[in-house]
Amino acid sequence: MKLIEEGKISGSQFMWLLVTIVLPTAVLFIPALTIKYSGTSAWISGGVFTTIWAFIIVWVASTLGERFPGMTLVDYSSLILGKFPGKLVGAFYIFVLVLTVAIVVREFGEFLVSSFMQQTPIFVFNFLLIALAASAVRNGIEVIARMNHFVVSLMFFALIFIFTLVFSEADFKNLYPIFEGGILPIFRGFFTPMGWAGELFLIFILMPYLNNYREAKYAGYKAALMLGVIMSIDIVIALAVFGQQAADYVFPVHTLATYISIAGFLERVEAFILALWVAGITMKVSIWYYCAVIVAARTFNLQDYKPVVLPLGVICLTWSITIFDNITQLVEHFDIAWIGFSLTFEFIVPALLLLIAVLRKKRGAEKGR
Amino acid sequence: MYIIGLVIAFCGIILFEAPKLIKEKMWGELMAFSGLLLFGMVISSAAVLNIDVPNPTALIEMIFAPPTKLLTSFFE
Repeated sequence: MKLIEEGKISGSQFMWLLVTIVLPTAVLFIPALTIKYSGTSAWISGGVFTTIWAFIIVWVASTLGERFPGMTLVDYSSLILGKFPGKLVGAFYIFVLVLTVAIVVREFGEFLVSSFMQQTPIFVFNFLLIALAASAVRNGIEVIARMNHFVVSLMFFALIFIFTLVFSEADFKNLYPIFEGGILPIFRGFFTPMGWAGELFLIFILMPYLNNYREAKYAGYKAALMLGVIMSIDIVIALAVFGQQAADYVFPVHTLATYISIAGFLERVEAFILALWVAGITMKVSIWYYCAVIVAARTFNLQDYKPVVLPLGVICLTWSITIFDNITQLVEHFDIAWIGFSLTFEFIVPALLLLIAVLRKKRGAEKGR
Repeated sequence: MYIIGLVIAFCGIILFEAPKLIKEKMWGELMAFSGLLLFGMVISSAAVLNIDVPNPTALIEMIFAPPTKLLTSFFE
């Protein structure tokens, strides 16, 4: 079975890739979106419920991947559904992945423009980010995984830095009352972060590049747990510092960083935090972009994935600018349609593939790579 | 005015990828490259020239907004 690329990554590199797939934008957007509906109970919907959901996604995606060791998504969906429907699944995922890259790039651009450089056109940030990611993708998964290992530590440093230094501003009375409006608002607040937790479905695209495919499930669970803990802390701190007003900020965590002030000496650290964060988002975009390129190369039956990198980059860049008029529309889109769309490609399609594979008793060769 | 920059960018991409593919007779790769790049050219030129083309997020909102609304309405 041809894999297009010979790169191989280890179990721990795989786990950190999964963390980076979700974390960089989730930390920025989720607190406000969750607190808007769940109020003081937001940490339950954004932290606890999303972790349970992430476990389900990891189970479905990695069980599917384990059934077909060493095979890519397009190969085994052709085996499960037949040749043409398999290619259709591939085409659907090219669309999904390219569109998600465009949205993540747009989120990044909006974050930079609204928080730091109001005068600069968003095109500049989007173009630089895509160009950087394209160069990473052309270098292959091993380079991305190693770079990611380094960047994740920077992101954790930035988060711990923010969370500890704003601790003096936090008032944990803001977390009461818990279960304010009953159980329904908690479920309502869970729908938006669900799309982010579900991003772990990329396991079934990245799995063939793992040294030992049996490590995928365990790495996925570890990543899900780690993300759950970080998101809970993130939401709790945002609530404790701002109270329910956190829902009015687009990026509460960035506003948190501007609150840091130690003895009139350590101030305006948000620019420093930003530098670390840009690295994290670049990695996130690179991984998603890589997945899009790999799926495209397999769908079109290519020997080499490099020729499709730049054309897909052009599409991502154009869409990143044209799909939304402004940031309000972007945030609204997550509420209006993204919930149903993300549920479809993150859960329903993989679960259906798994179900049909079980019913038709299809599985890959048991030798593994 | 921007269209000139766009043309230069596309010439750059083609000169960067295509000669190698033609020399090594990788026709399938060349087809995929040209197809995707053509699609990219169409949507990016349309964006620069302010022509309306169907927007993927509008499509998603058309299909997925009703079921999403139904799902969330149970919890409000």
